[in-house]
Amino acid sequence: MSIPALIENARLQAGLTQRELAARAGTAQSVVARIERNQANPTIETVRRLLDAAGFALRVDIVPKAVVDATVEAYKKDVDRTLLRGNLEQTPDQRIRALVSLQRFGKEVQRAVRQRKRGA
Amino acid sequence: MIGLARLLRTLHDAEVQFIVVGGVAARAHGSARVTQDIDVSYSRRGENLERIVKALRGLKPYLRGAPRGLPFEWSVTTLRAGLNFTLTTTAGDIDLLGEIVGGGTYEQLVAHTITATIFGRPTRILDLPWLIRVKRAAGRPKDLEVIAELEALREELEGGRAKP
Repeated sequence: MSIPALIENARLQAGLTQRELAARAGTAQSVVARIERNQANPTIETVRRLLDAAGFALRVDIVPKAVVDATVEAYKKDVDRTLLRGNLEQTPDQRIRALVSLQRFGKEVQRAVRQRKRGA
Repeated sequence: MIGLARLLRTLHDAEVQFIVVGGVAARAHGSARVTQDIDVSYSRRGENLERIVKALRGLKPYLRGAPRGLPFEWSVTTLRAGLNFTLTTTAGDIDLLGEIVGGGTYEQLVAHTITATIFGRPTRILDLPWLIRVKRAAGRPKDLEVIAELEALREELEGGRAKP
């Protein structure tokens, strides 16, 4: 999320106007407005102060950069996103339980194939 | 109890410090792929090694694919002597990873995990960006399709559909 979106999101979640947030943070409404319009480059301390005034803490994290790889992009076209979207409607627990069911089904199929081979 | 649930319960019951990585982690994030084993990153601190040995002893761990009869002692000494172990147990296959290419040790990975309740227990799972990162770092051709799916998942999540 960008800094302007971060500040606006925190402010709206706190139910504050720009003026109210600015007053709590000890700054002017125009400062908040400029940040939210992406017309300012606030320091990390300013961002922290505004978020604090809205009742949030700033957490800084590192994430790996997205890498563009032609082979991966080609494979991506074949990904069935309907399956992914269905899975994303579930909780992680439900996703793992579905995996267990599929594993069990796979074992049943293997067992049936082995039985048939023995019988043949 | 089906293998995966039993393996996870066994590790939790013994309070083993571990992170689910690999295919099961991908599945937890929403992957549609089916995997047959579970990969976990484990802390190599002494107390944790003792917990792992105690936890898995009852499941008769053995080196997966090794000839039958090959001497294999399941002990802290064995864990200390190695790093990554591909094991088969009576509850299913498990890979114990002391270090992961592109991700490092348990202690290095733990900051990049989510905690999700799986089979009723809070379980650390490698987060999606780092799952993609370690898959990329592994550099295996077979992972390219997996990476494509994980990246598609990340796009779907960034698009706003999602349960964490």
